[in-house]
Amino acid sequence: MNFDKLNHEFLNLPVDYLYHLGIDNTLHLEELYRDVKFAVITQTNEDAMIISNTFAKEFYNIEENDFSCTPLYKTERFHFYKVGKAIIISAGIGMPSTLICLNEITKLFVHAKIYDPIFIYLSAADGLNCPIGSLVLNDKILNSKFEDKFTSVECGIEYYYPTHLDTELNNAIYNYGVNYTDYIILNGSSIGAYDFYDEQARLDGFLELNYTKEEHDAYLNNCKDIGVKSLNMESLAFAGFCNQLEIRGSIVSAIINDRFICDKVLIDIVEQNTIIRNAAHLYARFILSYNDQND
Amino acid sequence: MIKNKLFNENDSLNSYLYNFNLTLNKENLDKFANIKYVLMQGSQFRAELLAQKLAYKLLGVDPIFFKPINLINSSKFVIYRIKNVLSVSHGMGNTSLLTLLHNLSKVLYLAGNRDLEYIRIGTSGGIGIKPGSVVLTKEAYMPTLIPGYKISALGKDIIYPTIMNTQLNLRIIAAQPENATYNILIGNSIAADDFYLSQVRFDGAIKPNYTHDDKQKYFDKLKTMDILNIEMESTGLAAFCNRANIPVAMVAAVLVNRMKSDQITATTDELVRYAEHAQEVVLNYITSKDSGQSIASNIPR
Repeated sequence: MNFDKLNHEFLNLPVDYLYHLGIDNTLHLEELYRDVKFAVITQTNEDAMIISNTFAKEFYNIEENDFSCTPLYKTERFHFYKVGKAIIISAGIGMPSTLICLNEITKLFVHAKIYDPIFIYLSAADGLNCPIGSLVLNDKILNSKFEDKFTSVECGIEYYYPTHLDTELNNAIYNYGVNYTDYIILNGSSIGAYDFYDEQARLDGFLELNYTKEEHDAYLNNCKDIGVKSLNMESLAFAGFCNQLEIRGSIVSAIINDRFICDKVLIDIVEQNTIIRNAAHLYARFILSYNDQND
Repeated sequence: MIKNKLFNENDSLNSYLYNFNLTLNKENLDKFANIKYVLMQGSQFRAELLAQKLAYKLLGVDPIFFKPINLINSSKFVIYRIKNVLSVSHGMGNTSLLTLLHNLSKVLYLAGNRDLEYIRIGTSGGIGIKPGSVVLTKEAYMPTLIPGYKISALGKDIIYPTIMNTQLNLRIIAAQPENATYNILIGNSIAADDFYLSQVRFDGAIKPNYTHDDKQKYFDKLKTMDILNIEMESTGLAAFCNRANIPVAMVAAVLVNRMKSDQITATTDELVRYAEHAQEVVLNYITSKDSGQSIASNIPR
């Protein structure tokens, strides 16, 4: 994390309320979180629980399947867990919700004096030309116009931030996954869209379309041709945020459908959960190996 | 209602709706038949609280004995039903709201509903407005101060109009008692794509590009444009409903006066009370004669 780019005003507040997490810095955050290195951010409450349980099984060698981690603090907005060296949190759908989460997690880390964290975005995603169940490590993040920049409006003015992620970290996870797991691990670009339907070029929304099926097909083909393997609604803001503060970040897209076959998700919830669990398992193992090598 | 021509009953019946984790079979769709009002809030807790209040007002059920059941199988949203009213959560921000709106509108359409009103009950930061006040939105602006909502479809930008339904706003105002203990105002709103930098706060994680002086100038400009509050969903809400031709209103409580503070420091009890003002305004409308709604004759106490 680059301290010069951090906002110092929140550090000077008498009490800093992390409103959406439901905590403030009068809790002994340093005591509670000083062993934490990783923040794993996902979309839904269910997935946050699956990731936390998978991490707990791996970190603490729990053999039983019949247990569940408990979310901490205010569960009104996000579900927040701590398991070993990781916190896991559901950030909701879309970039606006995810940015709120990223801001408050970062503030929490700074209060806890964690200055060199690794952020991981792990979530279900649409796939383009890759098998359902594959785990795509996104090395390049684009907006829906194929530009590698995140746009943020601040005090009425548009600013653009780069979206490249840590190549070294990405390669380390990729190599770990290929060498030590049986999952299908791929590298590919991701598009971060502001909407599930129009901005992800779907034909199955409720609103009247302003594009044809042919244009939809051509757009998806263009995506594929420039190396896009996944679409989601958070990656662009996640990458933009990590770049602004120079936080090391990694994104894994757990592929739950193939947009060249259908705009709809066809697999059931049990299969969806298995794919998330696989992605969580990859990161749990990677985090364990990372500790062995570096700490 | 205006809908996507490619979306039809034949293809949709018995299909799987991913974002609700729900199969669109007859049994599930029947639960959504004969709906008139869709009341939406960001938080699942507030949606449950409102469902309890509706159960009390419309059915005479004491909230102590009533816990609503989510009609869908995903934790992404909750959807509670009381008579012809849905109390729904949409999460935070336009992206989450639009996901809810597309999916819910599909379900409601397939369940045979054609005459609906959508109302968002929100919380917001006020621009020189006292916390506890309630704002009804006239027109929603992007944080660039352009009215409308920009969607990039297949990479091409389109800006959709974001004027709320004037008649619905007037009906809601007409249903309010004269002795309300808080201000109810009509004005414009900004929907930001973030809580921190996009809303010109100084308490986020990233060092802002703007100064306190820039913020003051921006807020002064907002006042000249009759922009009364900043929240995160009004543009997506209005754009969706205008495209679908569904009457829409947004009623938001003010939790903080942004001219004075960035942080939401009111005590939890106070915040709950402020947020409840917006619910009360909408409940007054739902239970008014104007709404065509019958209220419970056997309300306890």
